[in-house]
Amino acid sequence: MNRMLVVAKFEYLKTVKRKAFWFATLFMPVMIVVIMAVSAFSSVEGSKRLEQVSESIDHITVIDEAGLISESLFSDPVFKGDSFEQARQQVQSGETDAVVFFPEDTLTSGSYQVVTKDVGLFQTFGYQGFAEALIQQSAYERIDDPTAIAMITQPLSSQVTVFGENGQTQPFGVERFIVPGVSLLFFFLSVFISGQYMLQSVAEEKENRMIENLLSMVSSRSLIFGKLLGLTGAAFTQLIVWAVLGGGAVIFGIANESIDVAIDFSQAPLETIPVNIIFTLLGFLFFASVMTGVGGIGTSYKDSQSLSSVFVILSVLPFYFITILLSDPNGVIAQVVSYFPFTSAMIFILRNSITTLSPLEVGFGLLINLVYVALAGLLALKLFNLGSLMYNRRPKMREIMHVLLKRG
Amino acid sequence: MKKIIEIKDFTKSFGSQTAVDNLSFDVYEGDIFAFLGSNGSGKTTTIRCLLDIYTPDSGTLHLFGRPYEFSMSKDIGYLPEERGIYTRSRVIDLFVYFGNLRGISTKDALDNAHQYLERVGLIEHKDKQVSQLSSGMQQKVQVGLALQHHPRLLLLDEPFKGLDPLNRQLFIEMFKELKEQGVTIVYSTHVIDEAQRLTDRLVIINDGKRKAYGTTEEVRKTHGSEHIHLEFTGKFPKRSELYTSVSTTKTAEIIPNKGVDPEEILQELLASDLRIISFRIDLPSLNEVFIALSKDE
Repeated sequence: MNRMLVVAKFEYLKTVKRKAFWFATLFMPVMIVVIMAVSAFSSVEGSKRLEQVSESIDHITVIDEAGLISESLFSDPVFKGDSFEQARQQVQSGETDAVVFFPEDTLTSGSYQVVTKDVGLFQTFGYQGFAEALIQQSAYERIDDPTAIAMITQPLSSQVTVFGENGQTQPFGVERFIVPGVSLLFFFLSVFISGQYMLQSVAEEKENRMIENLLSMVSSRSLIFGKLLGLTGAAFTQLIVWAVLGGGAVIFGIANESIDVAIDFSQAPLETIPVNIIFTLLGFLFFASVMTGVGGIGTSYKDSQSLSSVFVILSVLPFYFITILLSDPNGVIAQVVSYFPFTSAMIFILRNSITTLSPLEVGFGLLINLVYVALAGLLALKLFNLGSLMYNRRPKMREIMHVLLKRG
Repeated sequence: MKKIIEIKDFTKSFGSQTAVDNLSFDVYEGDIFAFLGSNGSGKTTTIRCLLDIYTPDSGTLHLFGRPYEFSMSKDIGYLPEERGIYTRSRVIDLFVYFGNLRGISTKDALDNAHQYLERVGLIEHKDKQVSQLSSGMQQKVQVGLALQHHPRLLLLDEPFKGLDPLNRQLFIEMFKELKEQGVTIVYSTHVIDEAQRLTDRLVIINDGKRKAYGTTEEVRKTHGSEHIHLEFTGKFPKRSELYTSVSTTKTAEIIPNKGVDPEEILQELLASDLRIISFRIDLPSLNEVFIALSKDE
């Protein structure tokens, strides 16, 4: 068997036989779902604040066939409209910002419609909050009317239509979040957890004084690529387990009617999944390469871990301004972090899933990430060769720079 | 005799520091060959360059008549100075992994591992994690990883370092047995006494430069004069016109002055009050040669 494959097989089996691997595989997603639930709750609270944000818009048309909205609430920028179809076309052509349509049977069906331009997730949620605030405010103004109680107590749901820049409809709702949510979850788990395995593998090998023995039988290139291959296999094992568990949970939930969400998968941007998988793979290879270099120059696993924290922080930096990224996925900040090596793959996954990126932009994103992977791999190999046989001390910055700048 | 290792005009530097300077020596098939030098003298660097772990600056380093390539690892057992082991892996898995890396099939690697583990009394522990073994057992596993595949050449960098006395003796016995089987053994050390007892040929290096090279006897002859080893009772006489000496209350190592015959010294000693128990003329020990060569610097 090819030596690289021997290393890959050993690393794969070594990793999947560890208890820590299964702990991470089985419990990390649970933790992340809890964190996301808390975050989602915060977002709901945030949508209330966006009721005020929606006041800053130029023109919103309200069509009230059910006769629910008080006349006093119609004032600039909230305008009364007659024809839903006409108002819809005005939004599609960009003349107005949004239309809220309360059909005649709003209270019995519990449903209304929102049509909006693509203004980001939070602003769109804001229109829903705005529509519900209109109903509540109208109910308070005629509290003696029997329908007012129904207006306050009736749970309402909205059907949202979002028009993109070119007037095409875009999905909004659970369908819209499935792909970016699941893609980012998989990206985060596979890249960061598996990247840490790479760091652990290299650093422990150095700490255990195994590397010299191995390098007498296999080249450093084959050793590193073998590790990458084996740990990519471990990452895919995790992905499969998560997919099976997640899919199983959804099927079980639907079968037991504990999940009561009508998901129209035809509305979900499933076509972005293959590209997201490639970005995830590139992100993993980039991060794993960085961890290889760090593991090579650290004096021990603990030392390497502390060194790696710098790069982990750089990689998760976008989470600090996730609200801005979701609201404005094509804005300046999103564009900048799309091309920063440590965040590029993750941001492209996010943007590719929640907005329409041109094939050219996706292609360029893939290319630039490929370049980052190649560069990171080359530098990691150099750092590994420099530091792997340097016991009890880290290479000096002068030595690192000398090696990194040396050709070949 | 067939050359197994051929090193010619080999030089290696790290930045401005020359680790090995124009070194040349050969190792022949079936030799136990000692590579002697103090810490930092360039022994490990030479072995690493020989195995292509480091790239030499200049010179020729050949194994079995050609530069090292990984396919040769099937015929070579290597035990580095800085040695360790995966503590979280099973013993048997390590043997299979190392065997596979050398290009040996899993079945053969398992057979080899069982043979070795049986021999050193570790067969019952083959399925245990290395971390569950005592340090002495772990040392046996480390050595086994270098020996398991019946190599033609053993390259051992400071093999006695960190070994407890029992494992040290086991190792020496293995050396002798492997030599009888025709295995060539090259080992670096700065434990010189052991080398004098074990080795056929040797090279001594200091600061990366060759200081002595040849059979053990040749090196002792070339780099020192005859010494007299004496056992006695009584008072040992000091005769600076005839010899210098290092003595205890019962023994003395006498170094005759230039041109003085040992027989003349014997007669002089017999004429004194000394009662001689044994009188032996011998070459200087390898240890003395090594110290003398190191002091020359």
